[in-house]
Amino acid sequence: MSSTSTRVAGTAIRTRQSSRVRGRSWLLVQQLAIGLGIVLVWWLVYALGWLSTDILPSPLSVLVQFVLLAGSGTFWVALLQTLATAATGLVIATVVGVALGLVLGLAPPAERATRFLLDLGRSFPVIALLPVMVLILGTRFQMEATVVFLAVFWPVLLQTIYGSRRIDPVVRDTTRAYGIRLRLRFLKVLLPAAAPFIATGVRIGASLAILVAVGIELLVRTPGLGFELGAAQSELRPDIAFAYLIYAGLLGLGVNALLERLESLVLTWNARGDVLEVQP
Amino acid sequence: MRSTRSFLLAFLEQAWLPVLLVVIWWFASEGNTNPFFPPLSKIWDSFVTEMSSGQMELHLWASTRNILIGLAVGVVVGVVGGTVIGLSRRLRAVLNPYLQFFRTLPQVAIIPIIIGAFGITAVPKIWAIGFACIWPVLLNTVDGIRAIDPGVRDMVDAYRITTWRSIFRVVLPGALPQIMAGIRISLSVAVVLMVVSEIYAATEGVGYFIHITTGLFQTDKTWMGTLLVGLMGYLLSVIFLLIEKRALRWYHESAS
Repeated sequence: MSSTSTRVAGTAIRTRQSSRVRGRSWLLVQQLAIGLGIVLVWWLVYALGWLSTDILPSPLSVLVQFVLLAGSGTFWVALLQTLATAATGLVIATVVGVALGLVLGLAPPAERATRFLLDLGRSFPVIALLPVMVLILGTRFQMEATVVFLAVFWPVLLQTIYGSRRIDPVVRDTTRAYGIRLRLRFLKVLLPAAAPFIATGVRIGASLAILVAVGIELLVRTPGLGFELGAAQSELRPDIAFAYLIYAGLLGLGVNALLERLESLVLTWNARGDVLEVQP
Repeated sequence: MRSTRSFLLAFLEQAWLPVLLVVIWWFASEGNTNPFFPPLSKIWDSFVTEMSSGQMELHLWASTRNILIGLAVGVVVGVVGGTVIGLSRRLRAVLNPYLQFFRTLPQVAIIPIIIGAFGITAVPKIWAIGFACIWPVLLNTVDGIRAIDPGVRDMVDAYRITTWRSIFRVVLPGALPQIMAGIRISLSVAVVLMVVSEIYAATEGVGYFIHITTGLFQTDKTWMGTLLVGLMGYLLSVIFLLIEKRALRWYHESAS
């Protein structure tokens, strides 16, 4: 009797699993169909000559360039240069932003005194500082990293302040009542509580870092993806420019996915609902 | 009386540091001969001259216009698209990879392509800003709709409220806090794209002003333009916060 019911239950689970697998591959088919549809519309617009070929290249030529770029040294060097700029700015901004954010989060008078500066800084389009920074530092790597740092610093700082203020008042009173030392309180209470918010800040910062790095390369012609893209466009090679654009998007997607994975590995105590969700 | 005093105290608590920094900058830079760091007084003078000549007004107007029209385009497309996608679980799942691609695309990369293709006038810049503004609004609209309490949806079904009515009376108001958060991100994206597109290739706008004064080595004007862009970004975000506060008053009231 019991073995029958077990077998029935087993079959039920197996059926559910196989239907889930089937659902997932069906989803993949649909996703691919959408992609093909986009390419088809693109090709139609191209083939009917609605837009000049200087503006809209054919999907096939973009695909060819996309493949060719993957085998070219120029592309990989440019990619690494963009990544190096973005990563340098991001790392410095994370260190400075987290340290300053925790201090400001712990000292309300300091937070009030800097509130206006923070509001000004977060809404300041830092890329506008680029011409000034070029005058001061020249078109060097240090200049690029500094501009990226100045842009990324704000989201990291603000997220850290939010995070350190989100700490449960009961926990704060308990640690104070037990006279827990500052160092221990900092490392074992404050940092873990603020970490999910800091992680979000770093993730926002990473996308921003790539955006600003590409922007700098585009505007002051320092080496990197942005420079290559702009150069291809001004040489009337929109096929190469489009291929670079697609790579730029994939870069953003890859970095974002990597950071999300890291986040769920490091922040195991933080049950973030949207990470665990399985798509239908 | 007490409220006036506490207001004054709060103001002083927040104002002392910014004021002190400006004062320090003013006096420390006074008489500075380093061409890269002109005295703040000189930057102020160039602001007064440029404003009185009427040129600066035109640049400010051009930049603000591009931001606002681009943002409006992005918000309309984003909210409409986000509502369509947010209401359908299937559509959401199918389109997800493409939406993620456009969300993480470094939006400044579209500027050379759009400006290279359609020229250096205002319209291509508005296109670029509009395109970049779509994605934060769209994804936040989708998330906002998805986060609406299932009980509310059941209620809508039970009372047989028509689709149109439920979209305007239930779905969009329910997603509004999240939509507003999306528009706020789009606003800062719009300002960045405005600056980059105007430095890249333009004939007007504050970014253009910064760019040409750098070329002419008029550093006081470059600094002035840069500070003005920062102030512009700040003012736009303050205005947006006021609008947001008003639009979400019902939400904050029900939360408290």
